[in-house]
Amino acid sequence: MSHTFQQKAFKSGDRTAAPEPESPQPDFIKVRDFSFYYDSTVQVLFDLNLDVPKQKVTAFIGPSGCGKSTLLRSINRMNDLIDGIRHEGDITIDGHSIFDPHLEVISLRKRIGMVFQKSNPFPKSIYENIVYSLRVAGRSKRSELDEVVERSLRGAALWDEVKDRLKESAFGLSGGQMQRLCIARAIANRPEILLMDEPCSALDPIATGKIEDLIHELKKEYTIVIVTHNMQQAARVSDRTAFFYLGKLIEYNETEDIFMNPKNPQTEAYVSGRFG
Amino acid sequence: MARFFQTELDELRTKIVRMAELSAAAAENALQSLYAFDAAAARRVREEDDALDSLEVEIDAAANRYISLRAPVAGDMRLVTVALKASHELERIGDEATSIAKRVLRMCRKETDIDLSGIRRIGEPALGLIRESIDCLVQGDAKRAAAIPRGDKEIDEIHRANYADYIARIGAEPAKAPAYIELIFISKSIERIGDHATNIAVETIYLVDGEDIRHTDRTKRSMQ
Repeated sequence: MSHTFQQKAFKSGDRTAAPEPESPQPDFIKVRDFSFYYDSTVQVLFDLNLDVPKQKVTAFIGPSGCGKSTLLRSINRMNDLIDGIRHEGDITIDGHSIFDPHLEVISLRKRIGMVFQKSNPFPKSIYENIVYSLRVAGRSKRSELDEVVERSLRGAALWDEVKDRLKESAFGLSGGQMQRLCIARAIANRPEILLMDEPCSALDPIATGKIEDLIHELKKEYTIVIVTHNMQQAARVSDRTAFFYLGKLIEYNETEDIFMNPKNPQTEAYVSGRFG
Repeated sequence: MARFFQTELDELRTKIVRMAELSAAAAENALQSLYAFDAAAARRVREEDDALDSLEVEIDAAANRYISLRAPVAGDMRLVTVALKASHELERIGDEATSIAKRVLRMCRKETDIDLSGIRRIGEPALGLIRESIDCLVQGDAKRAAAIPRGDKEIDEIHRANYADYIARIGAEPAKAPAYIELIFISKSIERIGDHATNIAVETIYLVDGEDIRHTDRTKRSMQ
């Protein structure tokens, strides 16, 4: 790119319009007085309260062990798989408690896609990775599956790179492509929420850039919560940022405020790289 | 690979270009208001300075935001820091234009029968220098920018000559002393505008070549 001011602009009349202020999005995920314990007695989250707005990117940051991944995994009740856990308080999605005893966890997880630190494609073709959950749900109509594959891969900015080799093994993809395949798989069922647990930590800067650009696109359709150790990534991709320390929510605000003018000295020290 | 936040740099560029257009127009309009002793035009120059002030604040905010959230490096980093500095220079050009306009308004009320040839002598090259420095910034032309300090030196010499001339005239025509004093200050404002044009040129060289020539032999050489 050119590092001058010679953009479209000096030819007058072609100026970039000032961005219009965005209308506030309603809060979609609400965390209320939420505490979490491993082994019944080891408390790792303390009385958290936090609202995640719809169709925005919310970043959870903090040093290792601060509880950010535990909270993320609470949102789709992945922690249920661990023996001895318990929680207090509540998490609601669109006004409904995720801990409602009448709620089927499977139906909850259909509404929430998840992308992990390490890409984890199934040992199947690119195509079958995308349609796997649909097949499990008994959907096998070819035209429908084809449509889902194309939509999902386009949504994950991968279609152009793999459209001619859909039947090839997913393991033949690069690390960045595999991670985008996992994002494509996560959005195949049209979830409302995408949880991302350090989705770029195993990727090189170019692949990371592609995933970040993708996250920016995906928020038009999905509510995204991302856990990241990379503060520059949080600053780049998120609209709101929550800083956790020792299981407590220290500060939660617009990302711009967290990185430009944090209110809490601990937040300032962390985002400035002085601890953690 | 163009990133999703690339448009933010484009918007920053656009604001700088807009500010450059406004500041050059302010300097030109201020001098025209003097040449015509046009009080209405001088008032407009003062009023329009608000737009420059607002743009400076907007550019500061956008640049600070970009630094905080996008962690720019290399050319992007230089572009953002140059935007911060150039916007300050452009705002100061606006301030000098406003200062000239205020003096024009005072002169319109008291004394308009006065020789403006000294101001025309310094005004024309100064306006040319602003336009040149802005064009270099916008076009990213470091080579042409390197010639601007020399032009500024000539403007400094004209100002010194004006100063001596107006002091002499104050002695010869004491009744017009207040007007000549205004012209001394106007000549000084124009000389300062030349300094700001030079600073913009120095920033352009940093933007394009990554070389900071402030307080170096290269600056001195470029003035010879």
